[in-house]
Amino acid sequence: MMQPWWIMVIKTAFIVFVVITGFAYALLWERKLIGRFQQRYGPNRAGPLGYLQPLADVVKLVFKEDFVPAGANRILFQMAPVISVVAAVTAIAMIPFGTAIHILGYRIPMVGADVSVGVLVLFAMSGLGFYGLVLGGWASGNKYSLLGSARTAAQLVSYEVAMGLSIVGVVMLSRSLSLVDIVESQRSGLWWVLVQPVGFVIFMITAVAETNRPPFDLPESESELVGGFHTEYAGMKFAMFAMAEYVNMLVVSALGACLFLGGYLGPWLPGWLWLVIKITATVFVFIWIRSTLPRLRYDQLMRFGWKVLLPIATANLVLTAIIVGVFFSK
Amino acid sequence: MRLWDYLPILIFMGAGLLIGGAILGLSKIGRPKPNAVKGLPYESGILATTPVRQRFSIDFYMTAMLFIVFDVELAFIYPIAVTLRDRGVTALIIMLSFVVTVVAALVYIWRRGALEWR
Repeated sequence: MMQPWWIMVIKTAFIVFVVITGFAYALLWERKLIGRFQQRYGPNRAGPLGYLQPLADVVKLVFKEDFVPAGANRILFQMAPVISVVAAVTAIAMIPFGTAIHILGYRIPMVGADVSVGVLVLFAMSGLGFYGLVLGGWASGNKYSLLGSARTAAQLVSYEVAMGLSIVGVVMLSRSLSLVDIVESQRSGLWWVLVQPVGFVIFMITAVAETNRPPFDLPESESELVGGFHTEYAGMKFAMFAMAEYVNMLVVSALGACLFLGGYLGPWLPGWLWLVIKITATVFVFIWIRSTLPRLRYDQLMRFGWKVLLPIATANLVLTAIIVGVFFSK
Repeated sequence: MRLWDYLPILIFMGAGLLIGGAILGLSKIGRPKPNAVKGLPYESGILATTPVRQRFSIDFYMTAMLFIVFDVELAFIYPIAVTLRDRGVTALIIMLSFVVTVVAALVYIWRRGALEWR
């Protein structure tokens, strides 16, 4: 029997709670790791080993003065961070974390929304998330913010094309756009990263760009634009942008794990634990990249996206299509 | 019913709105006390003299147009990619003729210099 709506609500509450907690600790973990990369300790005062730091941050941010600048568009300025959060939270729904289980006679898939075009819905949600950043920067009434949001728009659309092309190979091999089916198509143990290494590398590079993380953090580059699109944001509104960024990072890591690294599949351990391990490894690579590479210049960034990533992704697509179409068609 | 599968997406959106709204409510705790100086746009301590919304580079508009071309390409490729293994060489020929057309467009705009960032 199909799952009734109240199971969906319980599941949603559970998944969102886990991911929000994961966000708080991803942020702490990043600060600790960046500290280690720079030969210092990172936050270690709030609670044992600094593990209550997220709580301390929230308390601090809640009591910050959080006003709307006089030159800002009041409605859009307050709506923009909410748009980002809604898009980020909705994207979580597509990530599968286990095989379906049967409780009380209902079949409950271990994924927020088991839809046949999961990958497309996920891309649509990440596309909606851009609106938060772009509108927030535009509505601030500040030149730094406006520049930041113009850059955000141009950067994100450029890299979205390469990201979309990089996963077509996986879609061809697994004959589905549903993330559950894509993960199940790797059950033989042949992860698609082994067949599509070029696609995986392009996916990882564009994933860093899509989540606005260094070395592609031009939208908020603090050394030239102060804070980019969030220059005028403070307190909990600023926290919402941070939350959207980190949830997006977790979701894009999970997407990479599902498309290329076999998702929740793996020996001995339970499925959700495998997914957590793979997400953690990917997030570690993100943090490692951040602490290693300097920021690109804007024209370099656009040239890299259009003249390097796009042609390579297209060549990879054509090559995969020929091999799959001629030798592996049913 | 397949449409039923999409209901959780709406529930997740609702959860997102709930979280966003709650945080927006929390942000009122800080009791903003705005005044004229605080309300000025931040420009590294210098008073803003020129209007905020200025014209900016044509390259941003160009990128937006190119994005539409290639994103539509992508939207056409996904359905063919899903059926490629079932339809075999027929689907392959359809896909390649389409990709070749788009690549020809890419070569053209590249040589016309539309990808240069000035």
